[in-house]
Amino acid sequence: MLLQLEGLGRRFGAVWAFRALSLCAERGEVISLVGPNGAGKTTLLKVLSTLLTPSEGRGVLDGHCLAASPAKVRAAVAWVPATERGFFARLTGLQNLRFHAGLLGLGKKTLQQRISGLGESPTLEAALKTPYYLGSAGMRQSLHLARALLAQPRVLLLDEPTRSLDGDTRRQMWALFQAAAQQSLVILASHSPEEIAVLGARQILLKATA
Amino acid sequence: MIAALFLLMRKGMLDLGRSPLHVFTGECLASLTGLTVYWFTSKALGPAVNFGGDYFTYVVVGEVALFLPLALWNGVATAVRGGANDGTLELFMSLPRRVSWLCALQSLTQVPRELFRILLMLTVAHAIFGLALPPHAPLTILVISLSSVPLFLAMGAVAAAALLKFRRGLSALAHGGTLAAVFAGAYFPLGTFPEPLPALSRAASPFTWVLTLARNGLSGGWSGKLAGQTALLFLGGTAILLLALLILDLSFTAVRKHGEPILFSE
Repeated sequence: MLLQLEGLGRRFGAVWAFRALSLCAERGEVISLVGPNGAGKTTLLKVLSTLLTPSEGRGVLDGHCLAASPAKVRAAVAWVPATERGFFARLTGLQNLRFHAGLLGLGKKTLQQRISGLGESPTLEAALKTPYYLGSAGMRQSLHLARALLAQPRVLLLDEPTRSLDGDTRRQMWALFQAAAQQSLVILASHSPEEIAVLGARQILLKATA
Repeated sequence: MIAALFLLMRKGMLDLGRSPLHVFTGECLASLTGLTVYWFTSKALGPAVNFGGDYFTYVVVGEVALFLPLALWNGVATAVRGGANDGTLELFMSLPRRVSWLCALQSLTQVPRELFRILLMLTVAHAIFGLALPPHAPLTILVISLSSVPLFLAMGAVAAAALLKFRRGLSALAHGGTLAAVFAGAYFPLGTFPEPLPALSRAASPFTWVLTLARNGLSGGWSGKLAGQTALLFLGGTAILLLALLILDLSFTAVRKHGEPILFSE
């Protein structure tokens, strides 16, 4: 089992973002976290990416415990944040990807191969040439996704990845998610019924705890 | 690979959209302004105060010898705060790399600029104000400055850990650096201050150690003793840096545990 959660919960002070979450998932699945704002979708993705430690319960990802072996978990996941921030603003998309490829130990040739492997995307192509601070929301999100896919992660965590994209760009993104799901477990937070339907995602409903 | 990361990080952090000529002109003007103030201060003091030479030389050496230590003292904390603001820090924290290492690398991107500032200020001081230092002076200051990098990077890492813990303190850090420079004897001889400040400064302030090494190197030239002290500064600093990066990693672990957004106030 690639992901196994048992009674997982996370709180901030006295307030629980989510709790008592149990879930099993395998490679090749697409899981959609749904629920109202404040239900804990983003917090759960941050716990799975080890940006936050769980407050209760147990989670095992790719054979590694979220709480006890976060560094090993990080090697297996790639997280795409809900914000458009996270890259060096003055660098072009390609320079930013080169930087992240460097952190992964990938050379220029491998980087180029993996970018080509993402398929043809006019939005990504434009993002690669444009300084990040001049990029549109679509360019930035496609760059975040490309950055995450460079690592060829076992688990891809996407936080509302298409929320501000136009129809064409959104469909390009969905194609990339589907391609990624061939090799990985994809978990995304989404408010879009169309997105969930297109991706054939299993839905996990999170309820606001407060 | 590390060199490529360093260059991209440097460009990403320091490229503010200005041309190199623009930046160079700005640095020249900054050097000229500072040196003009020191020049007239030196004239005003005249022979009234004995600095073991003229005040202008004394203060210029004090200033340039501490360029790099002061930049690194603030550097990691500035990188952490900047990363929190632009989102790069959170992304770094999700990567399978030590965040402390990445923050330290970000801080190191300042080194080339600070070395350039040292050479520029010495050049302007010599060309316009007639600063007379031995020919080996620039190299001596550069070598001692570079040898101090691990130690001040370590101090910067510990300062950044404190910043993450208390969510404030960047201004205090800057003021602390200024005070440390003053009490290191950058602007006045240590003997000016009442005891036990000079003794404390000599015993416990790395800023004082570096400045003393630089002044000794300029007045007496390179000797076996000076080379040994410089090597000790580098090797000791490297050992301390390893410990400091661990401390910074622990502070990031605490951030993951507490989970509060990384927001800072002054």
